[in-house]
Amino acid sequence: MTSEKRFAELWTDYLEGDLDDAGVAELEALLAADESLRARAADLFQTHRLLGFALQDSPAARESFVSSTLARMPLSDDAFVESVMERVHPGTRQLHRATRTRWLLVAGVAAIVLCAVAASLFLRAGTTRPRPQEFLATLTRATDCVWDVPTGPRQGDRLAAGELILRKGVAEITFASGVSLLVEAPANLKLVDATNTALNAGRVVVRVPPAAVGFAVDTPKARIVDQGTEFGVCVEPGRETVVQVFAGSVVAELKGPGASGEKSRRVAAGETMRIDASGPIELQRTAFSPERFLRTFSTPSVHKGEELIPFKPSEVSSQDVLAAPGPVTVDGDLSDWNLSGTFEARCGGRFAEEHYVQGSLMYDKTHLYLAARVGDPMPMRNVIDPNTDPWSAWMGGSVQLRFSTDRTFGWPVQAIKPSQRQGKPSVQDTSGRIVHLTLWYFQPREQPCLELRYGMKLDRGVVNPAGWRGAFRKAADGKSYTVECAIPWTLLGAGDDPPRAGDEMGLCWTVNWSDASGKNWKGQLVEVKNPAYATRGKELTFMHAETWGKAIYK
Amino acid sequence: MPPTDDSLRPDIIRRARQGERAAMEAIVRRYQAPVRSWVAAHCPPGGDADEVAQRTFVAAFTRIGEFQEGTDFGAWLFAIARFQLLTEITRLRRLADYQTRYGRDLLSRELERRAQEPDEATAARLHYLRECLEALGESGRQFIAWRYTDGLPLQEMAARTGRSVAAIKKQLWLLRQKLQQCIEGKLAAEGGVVS
Repeated sequence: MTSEKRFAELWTDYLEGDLDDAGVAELEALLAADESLRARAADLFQTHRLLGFALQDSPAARESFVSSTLARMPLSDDAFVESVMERVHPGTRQLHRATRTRWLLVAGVAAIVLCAVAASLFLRAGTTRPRPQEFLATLTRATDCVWDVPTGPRQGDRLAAGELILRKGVAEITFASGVSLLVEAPANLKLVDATNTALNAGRVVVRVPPAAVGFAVDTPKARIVDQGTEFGVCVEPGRETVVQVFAGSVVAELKGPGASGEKSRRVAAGETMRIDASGPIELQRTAFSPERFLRTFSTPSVHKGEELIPFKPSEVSSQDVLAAPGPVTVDGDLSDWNLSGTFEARCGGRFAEEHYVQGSLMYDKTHLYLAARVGDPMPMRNVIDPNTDPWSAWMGGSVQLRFSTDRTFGWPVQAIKPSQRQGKPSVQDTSGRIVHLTLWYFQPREQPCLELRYGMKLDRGVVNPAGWRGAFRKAADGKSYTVECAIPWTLLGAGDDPPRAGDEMGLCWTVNWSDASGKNWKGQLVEVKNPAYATRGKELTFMHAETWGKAIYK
Repeated sequence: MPPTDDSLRPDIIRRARQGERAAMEAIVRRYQAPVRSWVAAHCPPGGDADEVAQRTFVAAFTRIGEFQEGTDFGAWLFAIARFQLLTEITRLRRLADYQTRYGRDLLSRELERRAQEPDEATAARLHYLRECLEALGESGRQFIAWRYTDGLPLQEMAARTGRSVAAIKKQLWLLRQKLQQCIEGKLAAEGGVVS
């Protein structure tokens, strides 16, 4: 193997946290022997760091940095008041200033007592300037959280060092360094400083970006030190501590003499270690179980039970795609549309009244236009973040289209998911002109979202690409919504050769509904299908394009 | 060279010296990107770049009385950033297990040497990096976003693309190489500093 090839392997493993001790030594030897290689490694490392900076840069990240920095400034007089309040009411330590202010108003009757205590503390403090509140992290997401005190933090609150006891729910805590903790109740943890957290009980999944390698979680029996990774820690007091590594590696350092003299052990991705609470401290390998920890905040799932909307056979086999009558303003108001090509479909049985879709398509030389009015008793609640989990977004309520933009593929389209095909994938299977489109409204940021995936392998795609426009509008009665969007043909593989009147190509619609959480799928309606596949069989629309109905461009 | 935003009003620093919080906030907003990116590019492996950047601002405001009006505030701030970075490097070297985790810190020493370079070098690298990302193509950008924006594990990337983890590593190596060459090409074309 050439040294160049070996350097590539070692360097990539180094950046990905996969390099073992022997690899580190080998890489160091290479760098020590070659000054130009050392300079090149530094170049690559700087680019790696700048990539992390550039791609995690966002208005929210900048705001977080500014607010965290200002929170550390030793300047304002009210920092003294806040520090007094914290000493009088330790339970309010984690509160954001706004929350604390609200609390102060309610507790106004205690003002005289507080003033007396504050004066006493001031006298005790002498002339020493009070230490300002230092915020370590932010409660970035919270679902159904119940804390040990009614004044527990809320989503968006900044968190200082201190204990957090989560009785119910799931919370995400993000440090300024980018380290995130996904905490599953019941849990008792303590934020110590920017690089240390103590977990006394409960489950936490820790994600550490490259810039924050070395973050540590202390448990009663061991200290888990990150090496650039994602790992879970579970502490069951009186029973055991479990460490499971999903990516990268950690070092588990025992806090007492090990039964076999072992002081620490590296735990790599795919490995799980158990430390019994009773008897001598000992690291034991145990089975890796992906289900042991909650890793995705939104955790969408298929809603089970009577409320699941049953599949209904397709009744529509084709849809007219009309030439746009003029400029289209994307605002959720369809008064500028030619709606004569609209199809309507409803779910079956008792779901028919409230669960339906009226779908319309138009086109011109530059864009495809899509509009749908969707009957939904709980509209526009999707909480699945396009930045972290776009693949799951369909489950939180969405409109999906699958279609071909290549007239040479004809109809029915013969593309198949490559893993379902015997032999090599066809040109159609992997074509960028086979498009899967998902539209949803990300409620937490009130953001219309679009995901595009190409080919039947669904392995290439973009989320909220530049150039598309989308709008969602909820009906006044809160029982339906309208989605309208314009997507350039350039994003659909047909920028140089957009569809024209007379074209007939594959097309299929899917509408998904979620429950009230905005993340759990409870059923769908699939329409505009090939009549040969009107009832559901093993050929699902996202795997077999032959199931798709027909788009007729007028 | 990349465009620079030097829109800080002259009275802002004077107001910050008087302890006005809004003025301090304006200064943090103005300088957060250059300071953070510079620290990120020079902080050794295992260091907390944003923590160093925050300490830089806190130290600057603690000592803002020492700043001489009429001189270059940005240069003064970066001098503090260099000092804070040196402190972080020293702290890391004193950690008992740092040598074990990051080897004989040859890379750290090279980064430390570069920390003495003019800060325009980092600003230029960042500017061209963004341009080079645009030129990378959709598929490449997707990989980079998975790795650096979403922080996906390699296994997840492999599962999403139907490829092996080894193939994903190779792809990341090629993409990083491509970006590096692109940045260096643009720097060289301008006669800028490459290393």
